[in-house]
Formats: sequence, C-alpha cells, structure tokens
Amino acid sequence: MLTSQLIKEAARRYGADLVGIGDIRHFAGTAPEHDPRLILPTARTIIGLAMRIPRGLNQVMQSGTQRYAANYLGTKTISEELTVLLLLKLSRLIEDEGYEACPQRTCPNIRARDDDGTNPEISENISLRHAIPVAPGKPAPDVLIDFTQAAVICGLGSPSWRGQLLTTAFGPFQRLAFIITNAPLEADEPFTASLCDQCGACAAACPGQAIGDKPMDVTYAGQTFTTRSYDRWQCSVYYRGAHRANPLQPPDFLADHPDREAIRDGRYRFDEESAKAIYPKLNFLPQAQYGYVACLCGRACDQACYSHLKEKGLLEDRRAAALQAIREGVRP
Amino acid sequence: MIDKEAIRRFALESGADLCGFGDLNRFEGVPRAMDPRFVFPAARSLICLAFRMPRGVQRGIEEGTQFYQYPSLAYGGINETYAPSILYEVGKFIEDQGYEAMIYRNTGARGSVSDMDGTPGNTLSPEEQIVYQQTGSRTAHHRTVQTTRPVSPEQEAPDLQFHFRLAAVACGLGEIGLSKMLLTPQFGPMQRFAFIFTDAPIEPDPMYSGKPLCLKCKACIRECPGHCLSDTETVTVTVGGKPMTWAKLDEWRCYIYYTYSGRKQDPFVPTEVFDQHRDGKLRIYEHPEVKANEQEVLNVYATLDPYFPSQVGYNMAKCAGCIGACVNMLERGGCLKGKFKEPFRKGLRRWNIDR
Repeated sequence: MLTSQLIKEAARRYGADLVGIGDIRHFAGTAPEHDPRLILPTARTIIGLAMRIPRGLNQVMQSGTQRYAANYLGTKTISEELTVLLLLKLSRLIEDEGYEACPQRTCPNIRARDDDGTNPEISENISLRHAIPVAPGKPAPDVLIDFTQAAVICGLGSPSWRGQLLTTAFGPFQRLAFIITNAPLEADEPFTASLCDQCGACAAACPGQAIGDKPMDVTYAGQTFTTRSYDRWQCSVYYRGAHRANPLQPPDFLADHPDREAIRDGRYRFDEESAKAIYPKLNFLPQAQYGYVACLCGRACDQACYSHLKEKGLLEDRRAAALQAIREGVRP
Repeated sequence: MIDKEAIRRFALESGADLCGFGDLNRFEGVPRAMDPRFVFPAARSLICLAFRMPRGVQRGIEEGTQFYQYPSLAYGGINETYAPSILYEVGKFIEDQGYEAMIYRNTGARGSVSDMDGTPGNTLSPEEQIVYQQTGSRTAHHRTVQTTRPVSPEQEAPDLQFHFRLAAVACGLGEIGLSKMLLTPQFGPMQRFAFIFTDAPIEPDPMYSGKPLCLKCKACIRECPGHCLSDTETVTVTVGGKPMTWAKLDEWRCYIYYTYSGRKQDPFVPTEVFDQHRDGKLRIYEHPEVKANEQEVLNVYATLDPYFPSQVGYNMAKCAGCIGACVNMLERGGCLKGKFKEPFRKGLRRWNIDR
C-alpha cells in the first residue's frame, strides 16, 4: 500500500533532501495556465521534492575564487541529471501501485504565455505566447505550475523577497521538482509562516539592482505572503557578469559604449531588447550543456539571504539529525 | 559460469524495468551494416535492459495541456541520464565476475546508413545532436556519419547502428506492433532500451511466445496526424526465426510530424502561419501528394522555428498519436500486465484542434 511515509522514505533514498506532500485542493483559484489539475484532472495530491545546492559551491562564488563549478554542479547537474533520476525512480514506485505519476521537472527554457520575463540561468528562452487551447475549456499549453506555490502547499517553505522558495533547512539553496498524482496520500499542512523578514539584504546585494521594493502580495493556500518586484531581464545581464566586480571582465569591456559606467555600476536599466543586445558581450565563461550560462554575480542575493537567515537563527542545525541518521544507516 | 538470474536481479534492483538475454545468432540474415555482431565480435551474449516511460509523462499531451515533460524526461531523461546510470552499474557487476561488458546506450543516429531510409550517406536524422546551420533553426538535428569506412576488410564501418527494437525482440522482451513500436506485456509501447554485449556465455531467454501483443486494431494508423503509417503496405522481417510485421512507415513524414504535428495537433503554431505557407514551405501539411523528404523537413523546421521547437538537445514531441492510441487500445483490451486504477483515456479519441 502506498503511504506518505513510504513515498518520503523512497524519495530521500533516491536523492531528495526535503519531501512534502500537498493536497491538490489547495490549488483552488489558481490561474488555469498554472493549475496542476489541468495536467492531471484526477489529481489528488502533489509531492514536493527539494534537492539542496551544496553550500560550498556558493561559498567559492562569494569568495570570488570559483564560478564554473556552481554552474555545472549546482545548476546543470541537479536540474538535468539528479532531478531526472529522482523523478523517474519515484514515478515507477507510484505506478507500480496503480496510480498515475506526472513528474514535473523545471522547464528552464520556456516562458508561459503570461510571462514576458526570462530565466537568467538559460542562454535562450522560448516564449509560448502563440499557443492556443486544443479544445474549449482548456488553457493553452504548456501549463507550468508555480514551483514556489507548489512548495508552499507541500509544506516545504515560504517565498523570499523576490518570490523564490526559502526553507529552514537550506534557506534559498535548493532546486525543486514535483510529482502530480492521483494517489490518495496523507497530505502535509501548507507552510504558513514567512521565513523572509523583509530585511532587503538580497536587494541590497544585487550588483544589477534587479530586485525592487514594490510590494507584491501573493496568496498560496489561503496564506498571503509579501514579495517584491523582481526584474528578470535586469537580473539576466548581471547574472552574466556586466557588473564592475566581475573579475573576468577585460579592461576594454564595453569600451565604446556610451553607458559603460552606468552599466558596470548597475544603474542602467535593461529591458528585453537591450538585454539581448548586450548578451554577446558577456561571454566570459562557456555555457554548460543544455544552455546553462555561468552565474557571474555569484548569486549575491541568495548569499546575502542565507547569511541573514543564519545570523537570525532561522536555519535548522542539521548536524545532530545527520549524525543520528548515520548511526541508524538512513538518510536524515 | 556467470549467474544469469543474478544479473537480471541486479539490473532490476538497480532500476531497469525489464531485463532479457538474447542469442546473437538470432540476428542471422540482417544487413551487415546493421548487424550487432560487428559491434563487439567477441560477444557471446546480448543483454537488453528496458526502461519504462511513466504513463504520466504522456498525460499532459493526452490532455493537450503540457508537452514539455515527455521529451525532457521520458526521451532525453531516460536516454541521457537514467539508462546510462544503470548500464554503468550492471556493466560493473559483469566485469567484477571476469567478463567484458560493452555497454551500449541509445546513440541517436550515428550510423553509416540513414535511419530514415536505410541508404548509405549523409542525411538528417531526428535524433539528438545539433546541426543548426543546415536547417536554419534552433531545433536539434543530426546527420548520419559524414565519412566512414571499415578499419579492416572483415569489419563494418563505424559507428555501427543496430535496430534496437528488433534487438529487444531477440532478447525475448516482446514483439513489434503494427505501429513499428516494440510492445511488451508490461508496458505496451512505453519503454526505451539499452544493451550490454558480453563475452560471458549466457543461456538466452526464449523468444516471446505468449498471446500476440499487437491487437492489429490499426488505432496507431488512424490516429497518426501525419498519416505516416500505411494502411495497405506492410514490412516483414524475421528475428530468431520469428516473423515481425509492421505497417510501412514513412520516416521522413514522421520526422516532420513528430515535432510539428500540423494544423489539428500542434497548438503552438498560429493558424495564420499554416495559412500563409500552405502552398509554400508548409505545403506538406496541406497537400497529401507532396512527398516527404529531407528538403521538406528543412522547409518545415526553418519556418516553424519560433514555435516551441526544442527542449534543448531533444526535439519536442507534439504528436504522440501512435503511442497514445496504442496504450489506450491495449488497456481497453486488457493486454497490459501493469494495471492502473484509472484508464489512460476515457473516450475513444483524443482532442483535435478545431481549425
């Protein structure tokens, strides 16, 4: 018999660091373009899976000594390989009990119809703005679930200032995947507290000033969280290293550009057109397979967030649980 | 003597869904350029591992609401990550018993003959790898090998490509259906394969001899949006003395429809684009008499490039006509061993865009 406990144990065995199970009914009111019930109409639950990004990868980015490893191991390997293994293995287990498992990995290079932003991690994004519904009553494909919303519903954490997920285990340093299923699993309670205390350290740390201060309330599972405006096109330029502190910039970087200093200082505002125009000047490190571009801002926002959460004592100390697990021969 | 059941048990515990053992002599009579006995001439046995595609990755296509997860997880994910990780483990298991294990993943077309029409030479293939320049699109394409020759008179030109589905038949896992897909009693058409050639002497499994797996219902033929499977012509080959018959497949046409499935089945291409190019670059969709070939592929891919062409590295599968139709009919016929509590499809046919 398939139980929540069995799913959680298996997910950890297959590589998940955090597992939560959400009641699909908490998606009531979600826009059809993001509603998992329109992917699997018989869905009852959604399984949330988080894989940590090893902290050391971010520490060497912060210290300015290594940027390449984080792109490959912290982004590409987790999203394209470890997540795939986890999702496929867990889906088999669910199928073997006769239930449908609709695995949901990130779709890093496509943008939903209502999304005119971009994914800074990927070299090229494809817009689905031309898509039409296949039949009346259905949304135009692809339905892309909101990973932060789904994680809150699964009880994993709460949104940060810029809207990504924060957990008590890893702060902002995890990547997510989900399985929508019609298995009648016992659900966890949605996460109701807010780990983000609105300190604004992430916005202050961004070399491109991509994170604004305009409040944007989001409501997930009946709980309202305050996030802030986040300019993904602006982020994408500084993620690729347009800022002055990027040690890979040559002395003649943008030498003939009239706004060179404003760009390097993060004062220049980029939109889709101007961001795409400057990308060719930002090839400081090779891309990883699947088009993942190297992160040259060092995820300064996440580093600042993590430091703040740790300083405030909002992160779990996992050492005791890990030692206990080693003694018992299981994953914590 | 290596313990065959120990290998099978290890493979299944490692994450394979099916494991079969084949006799290489069952390939007697295949064209030399596709004869797996040339891959590793010292091999005495062939092991087939099958990896299921979760039925749930087809769910979004079936509902018409999500297309990304299938090519990403059940095509690229299995071929690039899942299957190699298990091949590696099973290969080590065999090596540790003193035998060679030549592990062989799904390669995409890199053979010396075209997987489109079987002719030697330089043609496009729909599998992974990138040939942007020739196609004028961002979509993944590949060419069969550019230049190749045998390294010795008794060898075949590298890299030799053998027929995965027929090799799975030779390992006793199932039969080829009318759709040209390999059908197994457990998963119907929903699996991918990888192989291990070994010099270990292993008693082969018997060829599949149970109830016929293909219902000959022709749902695959009816539901292919490109009419790529013939309703009148068939192809028959013999594997291990057992004839396998399938409907003649127009591979070039399948290539086109697989990624851009036409007016009724591709929700990502606006109607006006089909209208604008109906007598030009997209004529293949509107005029049944147009013969599909490499040039028509190039016309379609270059024209439709802005409309969701590729999950980086693998083409988007937007048709799924044959596979969905087959799963539906096999479930209705009670032919699949894995029993889902709810059916794949409630009605007989899936959606068609009304335009």
